[in-house]
Amino acid sequence: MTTTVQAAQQPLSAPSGLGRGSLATRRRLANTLVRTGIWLSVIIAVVPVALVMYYVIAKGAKMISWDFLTKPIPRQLANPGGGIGPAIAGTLLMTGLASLLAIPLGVLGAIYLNEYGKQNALARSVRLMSNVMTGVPSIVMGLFIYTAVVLTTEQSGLAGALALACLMLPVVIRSSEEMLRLVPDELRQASLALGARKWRTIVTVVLPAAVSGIASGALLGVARAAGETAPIVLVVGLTQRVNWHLSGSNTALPVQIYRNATEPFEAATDRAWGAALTLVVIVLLATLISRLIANRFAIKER
Amino acid sequence: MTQITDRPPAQPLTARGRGAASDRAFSAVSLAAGALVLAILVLILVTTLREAWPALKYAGLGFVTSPSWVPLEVDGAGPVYGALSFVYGTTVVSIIALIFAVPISIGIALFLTELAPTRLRSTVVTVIDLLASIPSVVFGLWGIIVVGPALVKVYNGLHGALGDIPVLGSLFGEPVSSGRGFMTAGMIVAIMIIPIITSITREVFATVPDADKQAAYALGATQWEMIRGAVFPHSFGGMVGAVMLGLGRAMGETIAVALTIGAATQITPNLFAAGNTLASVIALNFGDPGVPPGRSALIALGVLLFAITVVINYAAAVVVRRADVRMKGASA
Amino acid sequence: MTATNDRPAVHIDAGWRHDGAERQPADGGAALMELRDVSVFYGDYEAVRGATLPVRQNEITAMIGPSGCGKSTILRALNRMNDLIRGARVTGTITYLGQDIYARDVDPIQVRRQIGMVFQKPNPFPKSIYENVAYGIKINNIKGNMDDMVEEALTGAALWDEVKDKLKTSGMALSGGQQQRLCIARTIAIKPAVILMDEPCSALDPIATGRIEDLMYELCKQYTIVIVTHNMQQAARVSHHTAFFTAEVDEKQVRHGRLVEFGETGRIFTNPKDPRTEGYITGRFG
Repeated sequence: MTTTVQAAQQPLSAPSGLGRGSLATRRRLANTLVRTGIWLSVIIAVVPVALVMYYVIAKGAKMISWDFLTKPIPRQLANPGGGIGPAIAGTLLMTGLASLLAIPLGVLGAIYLNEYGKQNALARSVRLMSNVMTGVPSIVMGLFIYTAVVLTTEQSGLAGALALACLMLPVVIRSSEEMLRLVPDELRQASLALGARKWRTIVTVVLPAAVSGIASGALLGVARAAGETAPIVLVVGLTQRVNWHLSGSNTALPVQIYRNATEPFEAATDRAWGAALTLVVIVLLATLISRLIANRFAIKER
Repeated sequence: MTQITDRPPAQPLTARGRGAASDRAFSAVSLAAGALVLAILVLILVTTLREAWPALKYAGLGFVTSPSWVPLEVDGAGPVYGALSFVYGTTVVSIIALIFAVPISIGIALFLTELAPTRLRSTVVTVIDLLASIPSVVFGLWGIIVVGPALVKVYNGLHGALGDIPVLGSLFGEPVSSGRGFMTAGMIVAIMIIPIITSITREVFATVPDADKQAAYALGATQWEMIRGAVFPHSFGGMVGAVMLGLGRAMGETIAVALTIGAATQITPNLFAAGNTLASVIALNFGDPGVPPGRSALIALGVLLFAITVVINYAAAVVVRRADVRMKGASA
Repeated sequence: MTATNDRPAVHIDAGWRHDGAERQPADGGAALMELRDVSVFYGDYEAVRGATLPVRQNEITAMIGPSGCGKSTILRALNRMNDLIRGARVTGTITYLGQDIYARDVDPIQVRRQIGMVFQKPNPFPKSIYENVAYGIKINNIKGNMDDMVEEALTGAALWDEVKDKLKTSGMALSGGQQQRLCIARTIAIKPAVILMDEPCSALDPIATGRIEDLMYELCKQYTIVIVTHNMQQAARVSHHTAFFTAEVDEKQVRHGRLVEFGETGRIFTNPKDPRTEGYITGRFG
């Protein structure tokens, strides 16, 4: 606050009046400079997004065809042809299973935090640790599943799904708890006063009141998980054919982008852009649906 | 007027049974789900440390002091596992990322809370959300194919202009022809951590009391003087937390870095040179880890990365929470 | 807050809503619930100290007093809603039909099933009007035709005519007064013996308040009602018996809610025995 006081004294020496010119040049300049900087930072952030989207669409669109989306992956990435069918299947399989694991567990965890634990020591540490867990690098989560699961079994879609589930869990817990916190306490009391047990109150009143917010947050977590590469590279192995089974090597879209990106051949690069467009479409669709659900929720709240 | 008969017959109040048991079961299940977070974190440490142990035992203290990483038998000499080059690479890439991302993120946050016209605000929020949802590997692909080659000319120009100046010259050395190196990786990571730093600083800025801002304006402050006098002092703690969270993300970023850093094991002041980070070296070499205990050594790098990021994220969470408490206390 | 708010307090007795109706029910006041030396604690803090009073069947019992006197706290003790607050505990005994509701083997769910509650702020569920009323019936597994039971409850809450054509619309879309009657319908749908009302009209306008007061009078033919109100005129208009609470500072400078006086409403308002009651109802303090 001292700076503003000092600054406010300056105009005494400046020509008096209320026009723009009456403000000391230095102050006006600083203000303009900062405002320009702020606008500039927005533009700087928009440019890469626009560029990435432009390249993904421009270079990816020409690759997209039914064959590309369904055909098996070529053994030699340098050769043109083939598709990314197995990668799409693997992404859907692993993200789907990860969601089935992480969303119910995450919502239950959030129920524990907001409805039971509240501010007790365990709940506080779970809350803090899920913040910490959100920041655990995905490659470390991959190493965890590698050491805990793959070493005793095999590289598989199941291992990939487990890694993704571990990454999604804290995200789902945090966003669900936020949503549960928004449910007014009066609703819980009304239900309890009607003789409902706590668990029925939670299942029949609290969860339905928060369901769109929870779904929206969970879907964002799903979108994030679908784009994860590092853990999949470690624990899933590689395959050229569609594998809808949880056992045996599998693959995913991000892995195919990664592998093709590292190859210096044009066919591989093209394939990488095509796969990137496919992945971005899947991720953005999930994000968009999440937005739509959240907006409907907002209207209902009003 | 006696209405006693209209009243439902008295029921015993003690009819416990399945109902109460189901309540206990539900709370136990939810508690187990919550505790799962703690269990996973402990398990991560236990299982990775167990697998990393052979390499850690083999390398000893050299694991953190040696800059050389030779996972092969060379002329009868055993493999060497020193993580120092990767720690250096991680640090350099993270610092570059923060230098770019922090001012831009704070700028965007200020734009959203102070400057933006209502209609533009939601557009910018959408763009930042879009930025957050683009997968890391797509940024990596863009970085390796578009950004790297495009930046080589810039790097060459900077090297030509500044290369002869004593200190600056060593920072802006000879670039790699593909453009892959610390600087490219750092800039790509910067883009990727902008959303998280922006969203937290924005939340922090939003908690600055309107009364403080108006007090500053009432004293004749310009917008910048108001920001400097009312917004920044109030939100300093939260901003520090946001930067730390961004740092944690930057250190853990893997695939985009693996694609754009050029994969070299070296410690050099040249920001345009190729290098490797803890995360990227694991991803790049896991399929081909060299002679035993090569894979164990890569897992050990993971343990190191895990430890560093947990400490940073824990500290960030504490800082953010403390700032949060202080601000709530002030407004109450 | 009601239209009659500015009427001089001394004439309050003339405000009894239902001329010609007897204030005292014919059964002479068999006590359905009894509070004996009830104190409520939040942690170490004793919010209410040593209240003893009966709740008579098919009557409206009003609890009045200045804010902070513990009247809502006592009300919430009557159906164990206080259990939901960490650290809250009750000493003394509260009986319902002779059973101690705080006995070890008592299930609070069963208590609340028979002693319902209507809250200060109307709190319908974000579900349809129909679902709101059907909720308690489903939860408690009450057998019968659901449509009939919902209609009966809405009729009982004097809301049926207003909502019968829009049962599928959200309960949140109703006006404040209608929402509160929906909450009453939701409560009587499960046919409790006692209905606790925690300042049920404080968020409503005078007209809506009047309708709720009329409704209370109708309801007490079938139910026993305990109402907490900060509005003395309301207590005078609707209740049969009145309990006056106040907040007192003890020798350790700690505030406690105390029950000052309990009696037939007409007498409390015209001939209070305790000077503190008299001071409050004539507006000298509180």
